[in-house]
Amino acid sequence: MSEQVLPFYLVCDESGSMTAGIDDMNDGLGKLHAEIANNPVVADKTRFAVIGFSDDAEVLLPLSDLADVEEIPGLTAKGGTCFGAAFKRLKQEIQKDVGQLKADGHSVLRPVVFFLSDGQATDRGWESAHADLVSPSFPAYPKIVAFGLEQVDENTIKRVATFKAFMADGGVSPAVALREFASSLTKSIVRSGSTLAGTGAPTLQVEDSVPGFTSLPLDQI
Amino acid sequence: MSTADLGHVSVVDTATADGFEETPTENVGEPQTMLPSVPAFPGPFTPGRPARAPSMPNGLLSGEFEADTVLDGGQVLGGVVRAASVRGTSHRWDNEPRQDAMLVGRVEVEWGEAAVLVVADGVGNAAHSDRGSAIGVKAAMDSARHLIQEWADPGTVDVDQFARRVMDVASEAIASEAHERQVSPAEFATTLCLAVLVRGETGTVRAWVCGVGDSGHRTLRRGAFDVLDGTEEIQDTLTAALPSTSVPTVTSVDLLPGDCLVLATDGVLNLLLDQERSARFASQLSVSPDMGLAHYLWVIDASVRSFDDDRTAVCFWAGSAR
Repeated sequence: MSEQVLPFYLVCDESGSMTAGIDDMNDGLGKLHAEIANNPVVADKTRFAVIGFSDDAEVLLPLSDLADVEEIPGLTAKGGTCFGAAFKRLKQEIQKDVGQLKADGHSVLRPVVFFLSDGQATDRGWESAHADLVSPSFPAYPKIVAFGLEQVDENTIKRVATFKAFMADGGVSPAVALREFASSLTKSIVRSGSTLAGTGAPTLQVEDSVPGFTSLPLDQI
Repeated sequence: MSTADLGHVSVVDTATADGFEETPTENVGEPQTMLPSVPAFPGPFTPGRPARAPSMPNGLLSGEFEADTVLDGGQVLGGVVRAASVRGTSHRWDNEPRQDAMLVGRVEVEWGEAAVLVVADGVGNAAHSDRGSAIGVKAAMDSARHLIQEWADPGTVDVDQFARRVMDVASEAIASEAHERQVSPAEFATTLCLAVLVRGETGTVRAWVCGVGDSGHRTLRRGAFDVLDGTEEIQDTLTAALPSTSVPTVTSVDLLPGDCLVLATDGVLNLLLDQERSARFASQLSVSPDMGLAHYLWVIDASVRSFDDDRTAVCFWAGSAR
């Protein structure tokens, strides 16, 4: 019987340069899991997936009801920073997941992506994979909230984002910034899962400011 | 029914013929007397997978908020009205007020009587939408009553003009409250749907339904809800709302004896999009005129996974009055 589902995807950079903060990120994912799994109102409506990317992109956690997940697999720092592989894999996953949810009779809210990277893309042509993902011709195109750390170019993060963009301001260490990112992601899922729009469906809620990050104005893209 | 005396506790066999479990009774002290067994509460209505969160209020709210639940009902135009507005699981869990509102009323006029049913759904992310919906239904009801009393003959009424006037008055009331509180009117945003019922021809009841936003109506006829078109690929979350929009849609429905008009907010309408679940609600709502208020509330306050919005539904069963 149909349910209302709001799918969240975490797309996280696992390149070698993430080594310093990867443990904090994994710790943050553990806290996110505990928070969502223990909130039945939010768990009833949200699903969560993790895709890690470096030289390639890998689904670390398929779209899941976190109340049914024992542990979120950890991220591992390695290799380069291929944005194109991440966006292609993300589109495939969204297509597959939305198709399955619809086949199961569910009502699917527009998917939400939290994207995090700390470096410039090492692949060429990622922009076309991104354009395919966010094009209105793709019915399940997601809303993307993008976060940038360290060396990533501010304009790159603004190009990736379609909803909100944040850039680490250098005022805190990368480890602290990753913890704040994970905390912001958790709050967004909880608030989105418990805030209803005019249609009675969950609606995306993202903080206007995240400690350690500067919000980037998307209208200047 | 069998019982066994275990010291000071009398245990009642829970297997019963009518499907209700019976409660154990406990007697303390001497002499022991057997209390009459009573049916236990059957638990929530679950037309499908139940919600994981219990639909119970958490902390008592502080401040001027509408009650968790409002129930109403009565007989009018030879039919039966049952009405409930219930705070959703999400708002109960988060200690937030009900954002839905409703009112039902009868209007006595020279040519007979009319009924006015109003439901509203405060837009979730507007800070004062609970007030917006409450003000909206009150203003719309007052305006509709006033206008109906001026009708010489309901058969010659300009319903579009009536609907526009009612929505304008509701919008003005909401905007006025916002102005008084020095808050943007958008923070009071609410949908609103109003139905006027009058006697139709040859034993029917004519219902005019007008609304702004995604609150609306369904018709239950011969045990099944009217069929809707398919749903979109992806559900987006926008709706028109008062006071920024006050141009209403207007439809009319002729209700035959036994038909049921359901005026509802999207917390109920979305539940009815699923055919199997819709059939289970239809089965429950087809028992009028014997449905008491507590039974009606039990149906509307059903536990359904992921559908945790406030729920408001006003049912009118034509020709069902005793």
